[in-house]
Amino acid sequence: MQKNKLKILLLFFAITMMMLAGGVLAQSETDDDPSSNPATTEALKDRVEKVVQEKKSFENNGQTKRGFVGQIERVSEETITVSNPKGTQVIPLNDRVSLIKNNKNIAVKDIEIEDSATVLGIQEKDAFTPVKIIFSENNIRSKPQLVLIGTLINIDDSRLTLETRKEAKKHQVILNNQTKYEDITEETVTKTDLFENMQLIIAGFITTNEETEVETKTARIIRALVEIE
Amino acid sequence: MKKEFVIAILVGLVMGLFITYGIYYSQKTQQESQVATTIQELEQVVPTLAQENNGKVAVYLPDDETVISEKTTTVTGKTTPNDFVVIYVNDLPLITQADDQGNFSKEVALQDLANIIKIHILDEDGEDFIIERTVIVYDEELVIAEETKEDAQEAETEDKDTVKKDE
Repeated sequence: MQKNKLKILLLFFAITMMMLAGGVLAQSETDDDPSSNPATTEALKDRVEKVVQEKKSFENNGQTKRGFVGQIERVSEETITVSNPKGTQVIPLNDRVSLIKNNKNIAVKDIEIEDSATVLGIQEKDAFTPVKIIFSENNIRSKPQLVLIGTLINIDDSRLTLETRKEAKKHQVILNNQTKYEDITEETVTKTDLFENMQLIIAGFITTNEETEVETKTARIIRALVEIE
Repeated sequence: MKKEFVIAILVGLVMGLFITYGIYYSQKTQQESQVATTIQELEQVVPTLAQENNGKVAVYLPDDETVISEKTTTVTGKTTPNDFVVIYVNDLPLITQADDQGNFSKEVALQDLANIIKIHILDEDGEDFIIERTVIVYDEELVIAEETKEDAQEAETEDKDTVKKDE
């Protein structure tokens, strides 16, 4: 009798422990914190291995692929000048360099000033040899970016006002149907979850009206720096 | 008997909590140490990428002006602990945060050809440090060797002709 009693008690004890362990471990598996996500760690490890291989390969044969983007500033028969915020580069042109625009090979005379260029080639020690240059009429450079951190002063359907931490300056930011909202845990939340005095990070764009020179700030992602249930 | 059931369940709950917390904590620590170890490996591999912006920020990956074939890359670096990091890939922003040691790592999707990755580090006072990397996604071979060989052969032939003429 005493033995049976003990068995039943142990069974209850074991079931309680298993239920608890199952619940907690299931929760830990769905944890989507990117810094502790095993998939991200694996991806990072793969990238590190590739970087190591690339570095070794570069050390062995001194060659690596290199690419950069910029805007065409000047064109001559033998060279094009490409500029970007890091500086200006003069790229030599010859029969071995493919010039491509709209998926077609083009001649030097078809290159237009202010077109965007993606220059691909081989870097050998200090010398860069261009292999392919892909031109586009679209501006590759990204729009002026808006990154703010501060306190939410007020919010309505289409805009919010944020006071920045750095300068205590008030910024009016447009909200649209592309604006995404998330909390500190990266969980998606809605606009109505935000409230006054909440700390926020806003990432978006600044566009300037060419005629009036008025700047418009538009939010793409808003992150609340608190956990929202 | 009822009292003993309740005691067994309570003891089970307490023991279960201890054990599961132990397992959860060890898993989390293991994953964090894996990221930290990987970032330490990176620091050894790319020592030339010295800390930028007055030593406040270092971005280890991706390398600037690299050409890769994959459509994703991992933006990895180190800053002040718990700083917020806003990463723009061309015009698409996303937000992440550095951990307690200042390490950050985020996998990002890339577009074909040019990807301008701007990494904004936001410190506690709202100061914004920006680092830029260009990554080109291009999966075809970039070959200059064949052309060079032909040219070299032509040059060699020309040299031989010149030698013959001289003779």
